Amino acid sequence: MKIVKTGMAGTMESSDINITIEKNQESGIKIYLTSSVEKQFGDQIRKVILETLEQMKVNDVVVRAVDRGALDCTIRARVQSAAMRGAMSENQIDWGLF
Amino acid sequence: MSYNEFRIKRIDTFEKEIMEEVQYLLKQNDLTVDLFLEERIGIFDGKKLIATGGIKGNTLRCIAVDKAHQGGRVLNILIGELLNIQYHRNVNHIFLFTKPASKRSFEFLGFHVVEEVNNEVVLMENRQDGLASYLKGLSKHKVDGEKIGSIVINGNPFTLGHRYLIERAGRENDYLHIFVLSSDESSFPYRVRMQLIEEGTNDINNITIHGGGDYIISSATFPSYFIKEESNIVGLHAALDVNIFGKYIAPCLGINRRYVGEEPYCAVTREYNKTMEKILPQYGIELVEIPRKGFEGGYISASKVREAIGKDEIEKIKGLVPPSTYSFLISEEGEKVIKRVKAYSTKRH
Amino acid sequence: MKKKLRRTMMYVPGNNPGMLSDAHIYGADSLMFDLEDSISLKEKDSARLLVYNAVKTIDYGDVEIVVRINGLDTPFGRNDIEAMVRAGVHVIRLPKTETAEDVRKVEKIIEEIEKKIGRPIGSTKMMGAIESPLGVINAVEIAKASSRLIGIAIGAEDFVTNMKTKRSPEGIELLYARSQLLIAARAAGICALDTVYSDVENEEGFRKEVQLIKQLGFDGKSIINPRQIAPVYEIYAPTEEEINEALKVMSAIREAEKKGLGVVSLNGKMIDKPIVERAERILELGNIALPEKEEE
Repeated sequence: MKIVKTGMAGTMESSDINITIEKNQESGIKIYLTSSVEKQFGDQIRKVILETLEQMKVNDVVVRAVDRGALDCTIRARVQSAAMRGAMSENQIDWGLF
Repeated sequence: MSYNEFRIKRIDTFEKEIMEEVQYLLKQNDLTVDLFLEERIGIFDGKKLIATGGIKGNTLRCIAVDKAHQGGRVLNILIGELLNIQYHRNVNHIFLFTKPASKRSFEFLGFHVVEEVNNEVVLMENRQDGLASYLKGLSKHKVDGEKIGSIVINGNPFTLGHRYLIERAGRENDYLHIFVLSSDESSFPYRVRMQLIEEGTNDINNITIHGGGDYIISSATFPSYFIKEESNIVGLHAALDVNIFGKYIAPCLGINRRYVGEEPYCAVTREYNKTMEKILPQYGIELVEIPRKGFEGGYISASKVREAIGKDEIEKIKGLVPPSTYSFLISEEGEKVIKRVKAYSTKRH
Repeated sequence: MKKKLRRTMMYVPGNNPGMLSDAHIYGADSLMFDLEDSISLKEKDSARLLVYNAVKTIDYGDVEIVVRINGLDTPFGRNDIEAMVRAGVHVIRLPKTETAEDVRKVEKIIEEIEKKIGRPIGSTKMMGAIESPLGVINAVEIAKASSRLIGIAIGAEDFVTNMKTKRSPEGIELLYARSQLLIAARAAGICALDTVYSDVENEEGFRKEVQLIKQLGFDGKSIINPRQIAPVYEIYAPTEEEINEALKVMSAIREAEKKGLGVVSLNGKMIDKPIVERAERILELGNIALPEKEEE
C-alpha cells in the first residue's frame, strides 16, 4: 500500500495510541515512540507497529507514535487507520491486508 | 454516551458568555486572550468550561486547563482534539510555546523541546527529529570560507534598503546566507516575498536564499498573550529566536557574522538588535549593524513602501525598490497583492 | 440449551479503546459497540477498525457482543458489516429499521461475506432497532424478516421527535410503540429491548422506567452507563416466592420424567408449557442452578 499523504489516527487519551504515518524521504521504516511505559513495553509496541505495516505492505515511512498504554489490538487498529488514511483508501478496504 | 463524557465544542469569538469563561480560565493560568486565532475550542463538564485551546498557523495557542482538572485526562483530550483539527487542516508539524513548568505534561503528549530561555518560555514541537532534520537539510547548503555572513529578512516587500544591506554583506564576506521569514502574517505573501528577493538579488553570486522554515521565529508567531508584563515579550522572543539561531542554525552553516540594518524608527526592532548584540557573541557570531540607506532626507524601509501603496502613490515607490519589485507591483498579480496590502494597512502597521 | 438473558445491553462508543477493552467487567448481559451515532463522520473508519481489532482479540467471556452499524444508506454501512462479520461479532444491530426489506438487505450482505470467508452461514445474528413511526407500523413484518434476528429494540429519541412530542417520566407517549414492538417480538419468538434512559444522574426516574418496561414484558433495557446495570438486575430479580414456586415446578417435571409420565401435575394442577417456560425464566433471572438430577 502506498502512502501518499500524512495519515493520523488515535487520540491522546489513556489506553489509546496516536499514530502519524508520513512518507520517509529515505528508504525504510523509522519509528519515533513516546510512551509512559517505554521501558517495559517500548520494544513490544515497536514490534506491533512494524508487523502491522509489513502486513499492509507499507514501506518507507516515518511513524510517530504517542502511546498512552494501548493494548496490542489498539495499536494495530490505529496503525491500520493511519495507513489507510495516508493511502487515501479509508473506505476501499482490502481485507487481505489485515 | 460514555461513562464520564466531557463535551468538546468550537468557540466563536462572538459567543460573549463563553468568551468570558475563556478569559477567566486563561487568566487563572496567567494568560490573556489572543483574539486572532484561527480556531478555538473548549472542553465542558456539563455546562462549565474546564479547558480551552486554540490554533494559529502551525502553533497551538492559548491553552489553559481549569486548576481542578490539571494533571488529569483533560489536557490529553484538549491537545488530542487540537492535533486532530490541525490534521484535518493538513498541518502536521506542530509547535507550541509554554512555561517550563508545563514542559513535562507536553513531553508526555509527544512534544519535544526545541529551546528554552530564561526559565520563562519553552518552544516545543511534535517531532522528535524536527529541528535535526531541518538542520540536516540546511547543512547541504554549507559553503566553506573564513567569513560567512547571514541576514534574516522579512522583505515585505523587497526594497533597495534590503538590496543595499545584502550587497554590502556579500562584499564583506566569503559567502552570505539569507533567511526569509516564512510566517504568512505579512501583507505580502511568503511566496511573493521570496520571489522578489530572489529576483532582486540574482546578480549577486555568493549568496543562498533560504526559506526561514519553522525555526526562525517571527514576532507574529511568538505569542503575545503569554506573559503578564507586556514589556517582557520582545526581549523573550528575541532571546528565544537568537538562541536557536546561534546554537543550531549558525554552526550548521559555519555562520560567524549576522548583519542587520540600524533601526531608526521602531523601538521593538531596536530592542531586538540589542538582544542580538548580547547573545550572538556567546556563540562566536559578530553582529554587524549597517546604517540604513538614505533617500530624500529619510531612510528606505518596507513600511514606507506599504504606506505609499496604501495611498495609491505607486510612482513614489520607484525610488525605493529595485526594478524587479516595481514591475511586480504594476503586474496583474501585483494588483491582487496591492489589494491585500491595502486591507492590511487598515488592520495593523 | 440455556436461553441468553438480555436484561442489560450496554452502549460503548466504538472509538474509545479504554472502554472497549474493559466494558465487559461491569457485568452487563450484552455489550453494544457503537459505530453509528456516537461516532463523528471523520472517525467512522477508525472506529470500525478499532472495534474490528478489539472483537478479534479481546476475550469478552460469556458477554454477548452486539455492534451497531451505520445504515446501508450511508457510505459506511457495507464496510461496517464486512468488518464485523470478519471480526466474528455475535450480533449486528441495524439502526433505524423501517421495513422488512431493510433487514433482508443487510442479511444478504452478511450471507455473502460469511460465504466468502468461510464462516458458517447464519452464524452472525441480527437485531433491528426501530426508531420511527414507519418502523413501529411495520414491526410485525420486521420481526419476522430473518431467522438471524434475535430481537428488536425500540429507540425512542428519534421516534418521539417524529411523533411531535417528547419523552415524559410516565412514558405515555411511548406506550403504543412499546406495546406494538413487544407484540411483534413475541409473535416472532424473539427478544424485545427497551430504549435508553439518558439521565444517568436520575436513578429514581430510571428505576421507575425499568419497572414499567418489566411489567410490559420487555426482556431488558439498553443502557448507557455501568451505574445503570445493578438497578435493572435488582428489578428483574424474581422474588423468593417466585423462585420456590419455579423450583417446585422443575422438580415435579423431573419426578414425572423419572416415572415416565407424560402429564405433569403439581398440587393437583396440570403443568403446561407456558408454566414451564416461566419457571425456567425465573430461575435464569435469579441465576439459580437447576436442581441436580439424582444419580440412579
